[in-house]
Amino acid sequence: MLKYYSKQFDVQVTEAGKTVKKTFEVDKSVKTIYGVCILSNRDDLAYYRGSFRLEINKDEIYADGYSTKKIMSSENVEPNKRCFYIGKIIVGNGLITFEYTDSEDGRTVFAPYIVSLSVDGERESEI
Amino acid sequence: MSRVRVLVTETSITKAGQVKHFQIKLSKHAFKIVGIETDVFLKSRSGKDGVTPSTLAEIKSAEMFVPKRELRKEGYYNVVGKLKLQSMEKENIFYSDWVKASIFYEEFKLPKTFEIHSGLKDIRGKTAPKKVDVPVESTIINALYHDNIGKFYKQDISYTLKVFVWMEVNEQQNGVAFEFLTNEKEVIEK
Repeated sequence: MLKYYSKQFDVQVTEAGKTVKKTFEVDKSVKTIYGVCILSNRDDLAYYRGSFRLEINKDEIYADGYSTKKIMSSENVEPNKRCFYIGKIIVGNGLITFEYTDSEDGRTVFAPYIVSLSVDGERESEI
Repeated sequence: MSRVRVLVTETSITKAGQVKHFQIKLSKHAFKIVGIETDVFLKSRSGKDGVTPSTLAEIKSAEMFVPKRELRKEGYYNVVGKLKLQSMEKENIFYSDWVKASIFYEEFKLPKTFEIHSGLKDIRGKTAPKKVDVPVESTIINALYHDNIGKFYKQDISYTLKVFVWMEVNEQQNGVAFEFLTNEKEVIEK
């Protein structure tokens, strides 16, 4: 039986203007991923300064340079709809590559922050 | 359901009132453009790249670029410029829209004891690309951008304009079916 799956993967941004690349492995029971969104402990920095690239199972979902703000949802959005639907993607090898780039933006001053990639999907469960 | 990919094209604007022609190179697998999005990364107000952080107050600096209340009434508060796109296979332009610098409607506030909301609550909802339906045969589309914010403030403002082109591709297994393609109602609401 397939059940709802959701997990956050964090990257630490410690230097201004740098790219942080991380590959995460999802649990073997996870079969598909259908939603993504970005969260941060410093919304303002992630919103104004961030761009990223996302790859699931070696398939590029968002190209390099895509703005973080485009997949951030506000608290005004219904909690169940905050993730951005990307169609069902078969997880395959279970690898998610997330490449986050911080770039200078005159509206903010850099401070170390954490960016989280939240994914929604389906996992297999015997119960 | 068709699968799409997103392509990112960047260009730099440095002068007030600058008019820039550039080309967007599509993937050779693209056969239809289905959505367009834009974004702006502001660099500095003087036209030079970068801003010395120590000279700026952390939050108030946003107002330097985009005053939010007074000018908003005039409908001019965050318009950065105008982008027009032209396909090689279609006459006239297929996309023409104001490019806006995304801003929070309220200033960021450092969370205090009884103030749990900050930042993103003030954005009205989710963003969605503007839908278009343009079949393409060649791998190039022409873009024309006209700076507006520099003209408005009467000084050079340096920024990076990003254009995101969503295109349907004929690759078999790759790509994604994004929500803006399927959820018509939600797109219209925004």
